[in-house]
Amino acid sequence: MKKYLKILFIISIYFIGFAKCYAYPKTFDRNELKNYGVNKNWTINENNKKNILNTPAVDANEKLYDFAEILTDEEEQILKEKIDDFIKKTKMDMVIVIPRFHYYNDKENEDYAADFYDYNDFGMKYTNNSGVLFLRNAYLNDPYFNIYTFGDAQLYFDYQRLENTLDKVYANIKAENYLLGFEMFIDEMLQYYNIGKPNSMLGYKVDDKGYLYKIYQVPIIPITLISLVVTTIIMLILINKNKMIKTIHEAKSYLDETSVKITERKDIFITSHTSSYTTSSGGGEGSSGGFSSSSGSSGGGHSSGGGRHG
Amino acid sequence: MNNEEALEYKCPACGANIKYNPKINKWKCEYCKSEFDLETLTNKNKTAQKNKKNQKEPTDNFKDYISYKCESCGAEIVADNETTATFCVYCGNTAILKSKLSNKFTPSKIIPFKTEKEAALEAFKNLSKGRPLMPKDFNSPSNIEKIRGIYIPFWLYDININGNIEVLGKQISHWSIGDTHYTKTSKYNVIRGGKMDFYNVPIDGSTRFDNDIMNTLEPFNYEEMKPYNHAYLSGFYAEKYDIEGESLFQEVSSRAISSAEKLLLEEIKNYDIKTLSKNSLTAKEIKKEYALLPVWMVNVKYKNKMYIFAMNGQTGEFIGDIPLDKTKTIIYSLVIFIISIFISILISYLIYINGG
Repeated sequence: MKKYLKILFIISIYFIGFAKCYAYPKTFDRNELKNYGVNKNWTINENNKKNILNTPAVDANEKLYDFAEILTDEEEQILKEKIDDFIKKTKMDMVIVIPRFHYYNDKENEDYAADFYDYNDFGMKYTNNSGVLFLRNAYLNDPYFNIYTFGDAQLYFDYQRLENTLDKVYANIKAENYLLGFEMFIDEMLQYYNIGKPNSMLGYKVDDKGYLYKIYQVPIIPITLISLVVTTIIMLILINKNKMIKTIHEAKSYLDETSVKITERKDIFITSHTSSYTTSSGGGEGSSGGFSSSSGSSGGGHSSGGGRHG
Repeated sequence: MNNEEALEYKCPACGANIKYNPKINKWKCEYCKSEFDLETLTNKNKTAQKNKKNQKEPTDNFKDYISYKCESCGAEIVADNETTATFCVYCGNTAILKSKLSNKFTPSKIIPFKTEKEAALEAFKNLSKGRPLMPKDFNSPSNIEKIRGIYIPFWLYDININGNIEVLGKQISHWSIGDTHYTKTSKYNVIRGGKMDFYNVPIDGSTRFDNDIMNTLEPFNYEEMKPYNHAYLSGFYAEKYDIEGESLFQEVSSRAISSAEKLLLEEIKNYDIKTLSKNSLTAKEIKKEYALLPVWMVNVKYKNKMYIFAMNGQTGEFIGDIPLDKTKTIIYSLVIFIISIFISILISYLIYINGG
């Protein structure tokens, strides 16, 4: 009997040693005394109080929140180190959140992501609460993922860059190779940051609510060209005023109009040709996302990619 | 050098020189203030001219020049072959070289001067109006070397134009069915024929005057044209033609053909694009007349360069090319450019704040 117990003990130790460990993120209660755990400058009112209370309050230093328990502790550790490296290099926050809730539409996911970022202390150390959030909704029947940007991160990661990143990580996330997928996401974002702001965002800034706005930039080349054309035309008119002697090629003022007789009128058809081209009037089913929008309940702005199902 | 008789008009009242006054359309004596119409003056002077004999044998080889004896002071004055009316450089008396206006050089028509020398001077002084690039002191009267009222020899052509033009006409129509857009282009060979007459098309018959200047002075009001009479030349210079009318027909008819072509093109309607492919219009001379038309010539010397201005002696149209002040041109260009920049920036900013 002792021998069997010993064997059973050894087998148990063996399985315990090789078993995967999943850790559920720590959450805190929200209550009125601590402003419902909201330290950002949002206005709290009856309209958004419910959203705040429904948003998990988490430790903003953790950066990775696997509510669906799809990453092992070791994987989380690897990713956290990469995220810390991203934050250090970019001075922008990075969050990966993996909930599991029923998918109704993209908006639901966007609201969740925005509230999760806005009602926790993400990005507070950085200008305009800047940061990037990767949401993986691990809902089994219709899994979904997307990238959301906040504050100045919107200036570095425009819609096209977010789309490229989503395309790149799509295969791994869909195949549930999460570690690889998330690593690719972090690497890709860091690479884009190092390239600098895309041309499409050079004329934009972010206000203190996180909304993008276009700054006025003098269109130097068009204005110079227009001014040159205007100057040339006016100068030609002025110069022409000094040139009064003209070469006359016609004699209309000497025509006796009563003498004019039209003697021949012929219109002979030669040929005819019809050409055509087709335009696409339908918009097709494009992805949502793009420029600053306010979906969450905080009233703050953010941007996002088009999102992917899979 | 040939000696010629100089025809002069004297005041029938006091015997002083008398000149045509464009303002009153009469001949007015500057001394006794008498005024005469054309008929009275011609009749009175005919008798006086009969008794004059001023012949001299040619004395040298200057065959291109004519000398004449001034009736007022007796000085010998020289004029070139094309000059038909001039002034004595000593006493300023008018002299009309009658022999040079005889036979084929006798003009059939003349438009008398209607404007005076002062009008040409005033027009020159007013050149700066609306011309900011003109050198500041260019229109100063001190730059004027000469102002002369000259009767310029013109050939006036009556021209008949006949023939047709051929045009490649294109009719273009667009329509859409759903997302497909169609463009239909139909080509036609369009022929328009016609005939028309142009009357009194002028062309300068003297090589001494720039054709472009003379053409720019047009049009003259032919309703005021009169049968030629020497008396109109008194007080003015005059030239005779040195280009035969026949050799100018092609040049003058090209203007009529060009106008006829334009008129026939306007007759072609309902085409979106018209390209002239053939012009078979021909010109036929109906009649030509030799006429003297009045022009004030203003010679200006500015910074050692000569500039010629001309004023239509009938309508007062003043023309000529004015030099550009380089400094002013640069300053104006820069100022206009800077203002354009500011206006463009303002417009782009307004578009920006209105959400453009």
